[in-house]
Amino acid sequence: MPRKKKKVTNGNGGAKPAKVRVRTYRHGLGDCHLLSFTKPDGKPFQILIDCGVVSRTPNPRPIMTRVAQDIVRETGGVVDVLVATHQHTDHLSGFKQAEAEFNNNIKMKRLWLAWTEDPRNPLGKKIQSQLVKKLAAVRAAAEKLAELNPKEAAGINGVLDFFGAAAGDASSTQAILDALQKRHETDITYHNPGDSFVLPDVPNVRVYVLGPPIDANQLKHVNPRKSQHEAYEMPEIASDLLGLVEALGAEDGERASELSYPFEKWYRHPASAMKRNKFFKEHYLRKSENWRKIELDWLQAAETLALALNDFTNNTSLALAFEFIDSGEVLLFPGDAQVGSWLTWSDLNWSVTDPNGAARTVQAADLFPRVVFYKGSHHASYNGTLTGYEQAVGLEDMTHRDLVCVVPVDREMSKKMGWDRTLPWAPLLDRLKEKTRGRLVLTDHAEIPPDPKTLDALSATERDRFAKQVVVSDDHVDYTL
Amino acid sequence: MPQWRKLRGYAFDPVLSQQFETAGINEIVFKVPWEELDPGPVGDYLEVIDYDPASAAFYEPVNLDAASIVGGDGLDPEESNPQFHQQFVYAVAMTTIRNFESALGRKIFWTRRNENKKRGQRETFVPRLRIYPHAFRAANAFYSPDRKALVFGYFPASPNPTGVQLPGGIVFSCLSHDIIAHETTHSLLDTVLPRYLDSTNPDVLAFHEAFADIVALFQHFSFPEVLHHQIAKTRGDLASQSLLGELAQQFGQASGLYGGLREAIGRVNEQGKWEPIEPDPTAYEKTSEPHERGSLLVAALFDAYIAVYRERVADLIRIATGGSGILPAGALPVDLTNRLAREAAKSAQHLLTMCIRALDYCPPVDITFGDYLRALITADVDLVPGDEHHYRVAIIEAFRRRGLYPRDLRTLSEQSLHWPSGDQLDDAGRKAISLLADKLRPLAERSHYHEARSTTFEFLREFREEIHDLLTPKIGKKILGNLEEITGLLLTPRRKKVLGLEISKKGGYSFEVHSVRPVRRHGPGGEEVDNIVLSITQKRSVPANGVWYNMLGGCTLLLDLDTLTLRYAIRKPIDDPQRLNAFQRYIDGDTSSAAVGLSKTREPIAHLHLSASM
Repeated sequence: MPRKKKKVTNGNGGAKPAKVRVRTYRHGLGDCHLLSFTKPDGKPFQILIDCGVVSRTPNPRPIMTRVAQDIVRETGGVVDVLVATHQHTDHLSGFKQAEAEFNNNIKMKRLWLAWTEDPRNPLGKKIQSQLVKKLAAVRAAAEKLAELNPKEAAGINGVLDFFGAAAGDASSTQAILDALQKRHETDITYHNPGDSFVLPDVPNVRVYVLGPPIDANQLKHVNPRKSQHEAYEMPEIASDLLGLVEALGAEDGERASELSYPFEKWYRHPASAMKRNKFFKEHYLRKSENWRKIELDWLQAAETLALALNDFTNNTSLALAFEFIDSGEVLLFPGDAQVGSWLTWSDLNWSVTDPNGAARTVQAADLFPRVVFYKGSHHASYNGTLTGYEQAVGLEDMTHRDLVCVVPVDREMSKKMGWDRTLPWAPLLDRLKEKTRGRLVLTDHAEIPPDPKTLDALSATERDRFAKQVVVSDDHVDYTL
Repeated sequence: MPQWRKLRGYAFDPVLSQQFETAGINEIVFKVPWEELDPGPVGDYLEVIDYDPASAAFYEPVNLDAASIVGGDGLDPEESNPQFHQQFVYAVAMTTIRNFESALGRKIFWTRRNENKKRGQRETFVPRLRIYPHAFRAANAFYSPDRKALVFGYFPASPNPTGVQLPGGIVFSCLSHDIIAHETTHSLLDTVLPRYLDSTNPDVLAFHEAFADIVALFQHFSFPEVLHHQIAKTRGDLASQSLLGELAQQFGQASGLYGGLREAIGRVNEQGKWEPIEPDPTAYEKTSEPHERGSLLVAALFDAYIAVYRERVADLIRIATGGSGILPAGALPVDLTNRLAREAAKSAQHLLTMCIRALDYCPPVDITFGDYLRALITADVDLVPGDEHHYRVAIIEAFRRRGLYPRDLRTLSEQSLHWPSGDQLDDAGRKAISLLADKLRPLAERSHYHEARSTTFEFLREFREEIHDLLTPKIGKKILGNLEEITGLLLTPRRKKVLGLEISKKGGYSFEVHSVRPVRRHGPGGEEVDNIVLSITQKRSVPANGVWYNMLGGCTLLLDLDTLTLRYAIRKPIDDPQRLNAFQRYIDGDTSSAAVGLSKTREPIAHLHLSASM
């Protein structure tokens, strides 16, 4: 069990007020971060990034309600900005599960979303409608598989869990996002990569939008040597599986069109007539040949589709960097962005105006060496953090001496879902530990947070600072700067 | 009865045949050994079953023995006719099988099926590999080791009207010579070296992929008709790499195979001209993804092929150009095109045979590209001592240029790459080997009979059991110590417990007599090689990252039955601390199974293919 500390101190030993406190909740496999920046008048400016937990969490309502109640307490019921990074339950479910708190006790002044959620953006709309259609196909496949052989459906269902219930259901991620967008007190902004602006009311903080990447063309710059699945196929998600989608009759619930069949009607004999066909009776249906059947393979292809949709959705994460203009320190919150999104960041050029009025261009390569806080992307999966090679930026470019990394993980849950080898991925954790010189904090309760006294790679001053800067309690990790 | 069955099929993928340029030459005739066929076709080696569950339909099986079809050399190549698809997968898969049988000098048996019966495990003979030409709707095709089947998918072409495909039209993976040959090769490699599906180092799965690519590519090049067109087209530069390299890349684009080959051997430059890329000798160290790593092996063997072709046509070019090397203007003489195509096809066939033959000289587990280079060289020296066309030099050179060589040798000469010969045994070792080899003699006798494959299978199974008994402490007490030294296996239980090795009911450490393969081959000079290949494997469970994994060890023994001596012992010792260390490090950093959410699939090859195509 972690050490218990009730009181939150700030990293400057109370000498100066903290510039920001980042509270990361330890509620399970999911993201919820409360960033409290200090305004010039000394009052906090509250940014809430995501609030969710994976659907397989037992009894999630009280868990998420507790989180929401803490948010109410900390913010006094006013969240200045809510950031919903992407449409996955482990980032959104809390808004439904703790809806009483969120609806009655919290006022959200602004909502920030990725451009992919913008109903007026034609490409964004197309993406959403494709997602809905293909998800429906995956669900149909999972249902059929469950009927034929429940064991075989486990893989698909595990991936589907991230999307929550089917579209149309009030607890689906889509419905949650819709509800958030309908709150009348909330001002909505859809962000594009390349946007940068000064945080309202906090003139010392500038926000950079890194992802999601804006269009397919940008992707052609992607290093061609990387295998294709890391690229970001914006307009056509796994289009080679369209035939499968049609076969599952997902197209507006109608039956597959004649053109989707590989051969003309007169060649096709209905499968139901097989038992009257001598050849198939002898070679396919015979009981001793059962071990060679292919009844399920075509449905299993849906798992590929599910994974493609899952990765795709992760790549639609609104990825943000917060920069302190005076000190240059950067906090990086990539959502669950995977490699496909990371690869495009080095192509971005942000135009900023310095306090003295001078204009200049900022690139990711300027920001990364100044990152002092990194929220581990995608629960430290193997493709959630780019190492950085050639011109692309990645972990290797985070060279700041003060780098601290917090990763929301829950290895017990990962194990339940069969992903214990990959979520988090051990070699990545090792590297994160090296890069932060031990200042890596994992949020699950299996982890004993690093004891500053044992971090040999740090100097005495650094150890002292880390001890004050990061405070772990049962419910959350607080980082202050 | 006729000796051959002729079946018409595509020379190029239909994807390519829709291009006007290649439309006229897209038909070739496959010649496969005649056998009586049932509808399906269902023959001695293959059964094609055309059930399409995604369309909830089945298609009538083709009867290739029907007089009208025999008379017409098979059905017309026709994308819209499922029965032609059945004919085509049969023709290509049989061609591949035949290439294996003639290179290996023996009949092929599909991997045996281990059935869990109430009274313990039972091995059963699987007579036929099953082929499903239309099994699912996805851009994939794979070999399923569990079901002893090849499954092919079909999918709508990309909706963007950019390529040569009809946008939204359907692409069939079972109409690509290269894909069929590739998947058939996976299954054939699995019959010879079944433990190569266990990813015990970064090269193993890469080898499976690369080898399937190599066979598909060289087999495709072994049809002179395929090369004619290209040779006539690139008339100016007959000996250059671009001629064959460009064709290989076209095949790659059509089939989605040879991914890395595209980047490894050459590219089309800004002027639209194809140019070769200088190989990078450090690439092998830098790449870990199985496909990228495998492509290095494919590229190396392709380089070797080009070198061999160049050497074989040098005199022809001199004759045709009066010694200048510069061709006169105008179209090439047909005779010259024919001869060049024939030389290119012959070179491909030779390399194909070499590559397959080397499999008998590979360790039974845990192969590296360096091991394969040694197997290639040793197998070829054994059969063709004089290397008239410098094939071996070309291969060594090509492997060296891409950094693919064993790291534990002082030089890369032919002599040092050659596996160490078995002559160097001491007297006790010789005695042990001669005892073992003597046991195997009846097998060599028997292997010359013509029997049904099922009978031979049964006979070989009994033989494996007999060898297994011989290697247990009770019966083989006198020779076990010597054999342990020779093979690197652990057979007699040690006083001190060896971590992770089990003791069997027969009193020794568990091991498996993996296969016993009698081999009789004829070299080009008429010389005869009469060997037995005996593979024995062992596993032990070792911890890595807090989980227990099976580390594999084993040995391939090549025995000469005429003299009762050991030719080679190709070893992967089970208790080698360096091997253990490398294995644990590999498991720790392995990314191949790290894809989030991909369920632990029972289809290892499909998994591998998916990770490339997604």
